[in-house]
Amino acid sequence: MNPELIREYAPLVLAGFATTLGLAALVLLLAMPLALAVAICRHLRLPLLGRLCGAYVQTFRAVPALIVLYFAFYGLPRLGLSLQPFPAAALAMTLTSVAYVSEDFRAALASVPRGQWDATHALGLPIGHAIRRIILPQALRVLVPPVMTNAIVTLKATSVASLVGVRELTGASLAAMAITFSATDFLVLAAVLYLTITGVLAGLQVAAERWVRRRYGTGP
Amino acid sequence: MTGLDFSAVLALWPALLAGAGMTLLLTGCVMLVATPTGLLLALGRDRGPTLLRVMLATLSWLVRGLPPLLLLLLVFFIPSDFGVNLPPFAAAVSGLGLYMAFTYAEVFRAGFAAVPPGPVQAAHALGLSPPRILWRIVLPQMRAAVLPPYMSHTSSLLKNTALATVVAVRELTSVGKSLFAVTYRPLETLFVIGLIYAAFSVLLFLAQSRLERRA
Repeated sequence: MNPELIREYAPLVLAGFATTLGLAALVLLLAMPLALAVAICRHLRLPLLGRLCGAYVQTFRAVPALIVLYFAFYGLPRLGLSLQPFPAAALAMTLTSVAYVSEDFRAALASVPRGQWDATHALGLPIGHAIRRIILPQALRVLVPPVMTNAIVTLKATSVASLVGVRELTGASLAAMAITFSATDFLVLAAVLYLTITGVLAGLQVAAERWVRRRYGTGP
Repeated sequence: MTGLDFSAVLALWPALLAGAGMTLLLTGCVMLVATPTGLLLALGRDRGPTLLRVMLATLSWLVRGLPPLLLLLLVFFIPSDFGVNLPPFAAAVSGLGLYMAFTYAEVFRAGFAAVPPGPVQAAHALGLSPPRILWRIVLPQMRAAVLPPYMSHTSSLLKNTALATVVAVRELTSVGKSLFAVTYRPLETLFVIGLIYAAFSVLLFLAQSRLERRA
């Protein structure tokens, strides 16, 4: 360990850390509503749209996230859409994340008894209102643990963006490594920063699960 | 954009085949290393002395809190700082194996918890040795609970082998990247590669269905 070297390149690595946080936050913010929409289309078995969403989810879960990322960065320009590394990574990771998280939403929706949907229908509630007020509060208990787990998975997966040249935490550490020829310092520094944020998220997960139990009960 | 043309990519099929073989070999080797290790880790965490439990819990948090990509880089580059150069394949098996061992360990721990205590106590009362109890009583009974999460983590392992491209293992993704650098056909190459990964995922899924029916 060489403290002087680390001090000199700390700004580079910390900027990478900020990019990691920004990328993960952006991806999660985009993925959550989309995942809910995909899950609802599949849960309600909408004609055509439900099938299309199903095919999308199966495809993106069968292929490595890195292949999707390469597709967004190297493949899309051939279709006339050239993206910078960061937007390409945000797009690819959102598409992947939606596929996985929508399965969590779908399981949570399936955990709400069919009769509840029928009742909202019988009462003439508009669908948006029914989902927000009747279905989601009941689904939350089943939803929170796997969604928080997938949020942590998404954060860790942002490291792959370094392979298309995004200077996030892993990319920045590799850059510092390439300049200084000192692998241990910067990889360990990156590891410490990753563990800090995944630790915070794991703590948030425990808090969120406790909040849901207190607010909505432990269920039947 | 000109139309899709797969001829250039498919002409290089021997390279694709070698890459696909390497992906399967890597997946198989990691499974072979990580499954028994994961079982030992689970036993250590559930039955070991307190000190071992605390150490393994900390280690599990460390390993599972890091991106697998960073773990691969750590395993590959840190020894080289100390003059030890791991061959790429060995580094990939160790890095992914470490991650998967602790992941499988969580699956096995959940499996232990799913086994009812009665038969185990009965086996103890009959004087069966602990390894025999584990092999004959506990493992067969946890099979049904363990199989689905075990297979789903194995399917993520198959996809995570793509990360071994950073330590220069010539698996499918790394071969694919060279192929489209040569042929200037990124769309077609990625499509073919994606199809191969999807086929492997389907095979895993079919294996799981068969195993579950037998369980």
